[in-house]
Amino acid sequence: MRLRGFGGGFRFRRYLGQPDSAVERLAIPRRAVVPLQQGFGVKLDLLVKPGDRVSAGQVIGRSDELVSSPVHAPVNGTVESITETAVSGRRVPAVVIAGDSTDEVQTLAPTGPDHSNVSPERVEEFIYLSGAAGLGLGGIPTRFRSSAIGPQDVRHVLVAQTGAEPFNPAVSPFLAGSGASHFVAGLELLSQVLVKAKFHIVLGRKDEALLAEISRLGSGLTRVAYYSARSRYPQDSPEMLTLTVLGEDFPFGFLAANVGIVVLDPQAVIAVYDAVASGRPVVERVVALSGPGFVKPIHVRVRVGTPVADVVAGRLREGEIRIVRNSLLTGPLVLDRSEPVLRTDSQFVALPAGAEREPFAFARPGLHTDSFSRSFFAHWLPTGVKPDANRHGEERPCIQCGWCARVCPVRIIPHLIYRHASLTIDETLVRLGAFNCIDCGLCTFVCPSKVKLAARMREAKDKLVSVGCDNSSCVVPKFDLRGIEEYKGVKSIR
Amino acid sequence: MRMLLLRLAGRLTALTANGPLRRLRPVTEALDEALLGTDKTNHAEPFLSDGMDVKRMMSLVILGLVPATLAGIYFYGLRVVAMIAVSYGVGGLVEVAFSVWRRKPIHEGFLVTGLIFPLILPPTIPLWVVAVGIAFGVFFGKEVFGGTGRNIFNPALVGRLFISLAFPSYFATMWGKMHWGGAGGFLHWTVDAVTQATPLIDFKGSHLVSADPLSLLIGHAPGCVGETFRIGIILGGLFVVVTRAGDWRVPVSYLASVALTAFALHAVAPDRVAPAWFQLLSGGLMFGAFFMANDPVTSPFTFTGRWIYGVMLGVLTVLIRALSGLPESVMFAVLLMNAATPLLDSLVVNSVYRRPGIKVRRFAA
Repeated sequence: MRLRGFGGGFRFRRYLGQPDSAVERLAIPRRAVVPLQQGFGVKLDLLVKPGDRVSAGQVIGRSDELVSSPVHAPVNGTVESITETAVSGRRVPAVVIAGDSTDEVQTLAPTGPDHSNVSPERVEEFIYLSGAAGLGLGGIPTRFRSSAIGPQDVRHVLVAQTGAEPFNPAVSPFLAGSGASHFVAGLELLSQVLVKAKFHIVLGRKDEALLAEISRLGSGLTRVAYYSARSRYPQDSPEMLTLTVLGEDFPFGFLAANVGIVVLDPQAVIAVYDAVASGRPVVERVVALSGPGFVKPIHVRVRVGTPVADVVAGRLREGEIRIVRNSLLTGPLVLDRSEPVLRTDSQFVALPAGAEREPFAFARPGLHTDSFSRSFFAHWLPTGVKPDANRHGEERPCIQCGWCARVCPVRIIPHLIYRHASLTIDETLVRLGAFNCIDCGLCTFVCPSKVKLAARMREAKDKLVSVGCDNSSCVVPKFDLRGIEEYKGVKSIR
Repeated sequence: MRMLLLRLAGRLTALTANGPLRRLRPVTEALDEALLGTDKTNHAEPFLSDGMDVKRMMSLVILGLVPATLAGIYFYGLRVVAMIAVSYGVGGLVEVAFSVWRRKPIHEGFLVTGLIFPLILPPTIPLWVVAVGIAFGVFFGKEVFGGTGRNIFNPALVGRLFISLAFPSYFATMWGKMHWGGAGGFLHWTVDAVTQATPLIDFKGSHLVSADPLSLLIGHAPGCVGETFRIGIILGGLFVVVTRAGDWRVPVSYLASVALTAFALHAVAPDRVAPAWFQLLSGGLMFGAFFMANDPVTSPFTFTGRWIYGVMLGVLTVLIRALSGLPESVMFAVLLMNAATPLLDSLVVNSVYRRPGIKVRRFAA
């Protein structure tokens, strides 16, 4: 089924440096860093101490009391130290393991390829213990508190990868060949656990052949629907998926999980299959190395916890290169290349800083320049876009050209909110929809006056929240929110 | 080339780094930025920036104005070049003086104002009047409100309104005899000061349409410097709209509204209201619709507001042309609607964002 689009948004076309679909296996790292907090969960209780011998796949951090899922040692070796590491500006405790480069992974008691007689309870256990429950934006719900909601609360599972970002991991490395059957098996296992959920598989238009293959293999599954979507950013965000796939309103400011929606990427479903069929915990990830900063963009299969420096070693071009996790629009930036690969990472984008000044930059023909305007040759010719981090202009006062409102997927007027917030911060901002902002970053991207709209809106929102004012006054009465034990909201500022 | 520019820019910046010339820093900064582009990069999300900036946006509008400008020179002689030079020179001085005084960077919006202003003046107007007009327009139309992005009225139109009220005789009859054929005005300084009326003035007097559509389209009918060559204006306007340097909603709704209103009223009162095709192709309508009404700062920012704005502009234009003593009305219509712009925006914003939680649109596949 072809998916309906949404108003606004932006199509990132013809970016050069998309990763080749080949997957290279990286060497097991000599040193792995495992943050005890990955993705959405809380900090985990530590189960090892320095000097302990650990084997790959052994649970080293786990907290059954709070919303979380266990983390595993990704390599065989000894615990070197317990330190703090910075993951994109956030300091989290981490376990440093000196690896011995051996290959074996300690598995849970696997069930083998035939998993038809495994009980749903066992499946749930596998999903939780393998760490697969920690994948996705809000986690996969199990009875072990791996998500804010329980498995019976899940109404919809959205598995999406439409290639809407400037750079996208290819889906073929996991879904082509045997991947498709593993994926379908993973769906089947998930449907045993999430008994009330409908499954929606959303892939890009260019992957329609794969989608057809999956739907053929999955013809026995009753609660699954298949969609192909246009690659229009931010299609893969939970907000836009909820809107376009389910046709439902989204409780802006809350998690998709709060309305019973779980958003996953295809790799998470395959991790579920691997967990049950081979008992293999999530110690490995396929990540795309994309962007013009890499000599040869490619996918690599890498152990979680490998420092980014080891992953990109020898692959970067000359010059100042920025490495961004997952998305050029929403980041975050890899500030320090000793930061580890997380199990929730799907790609690293290497972007040239582009700090060189360009003579008569405003008049350039732009054979490789992307723009919302159609004034560059790259819009009309198939020359491809070579992005960099240059701002391409000086900051100027807003001229109300309205481009930010034209690309905004949630139909707010970013420049209006920005101008109001620069005068005064009050409840008017809530009325204007400041809290509907999904931080997609498109407004800042298109602004010809180079105003940092998204950042300014974020600041304004933070200030509003700090005085107890947010969107909840209009979300809470309208939606049946789950997984929120305690609600503290103030309806107006005094 | 690049090294040379870098050194030149370095010299310029060094000149005003400190010492007696440091107040002129906005000037050297503006030159530096225009020559060499920026070296600033994104350190936070989103890491990408659109290739477009305000300089390029204004350059695109100026490119869109090129056909009209060249035609103005062809029809009215090289004196038009002098008018443009005076406009840029005097207006630029006012802009620079304000930047220096406020210690803010020079903004590029002036580049468009300075070119549009001479294009909407009669060809025989004395150069000192051009100077007075642009100085008034930039000062009272823009700078007193706080500069680019904050002005309520279109600065070029404020200047024109001022001189049309202060020196009305230049706007009444002195339209001159246009050059036609051969190299035209490219070899002449000015036009013969023969008393001649624009087609709209003719209609006001005699209630007769005195021009055919073709001569109106190619511009062979007297009028302001830049408003006569309507094929060029339409092409330039389409260029601006297609490259998205200007919004398409305002010109479309404005022109459609003029056509519909004139069509309806002409059927009722053919003596007072000129036929629709004539209204569309005469006076400053084409120029006004594509380059004046469409100014993003002084037109509504809400899209609904832009539609209402365009429609009301059209109605006003036809009504003022038909019912007032003035032959042409685009300037008054645009200025009036400029004044109504904040109201339109408030109405739209308050009705759409009445309470939090906006419906998001979905499109068909």
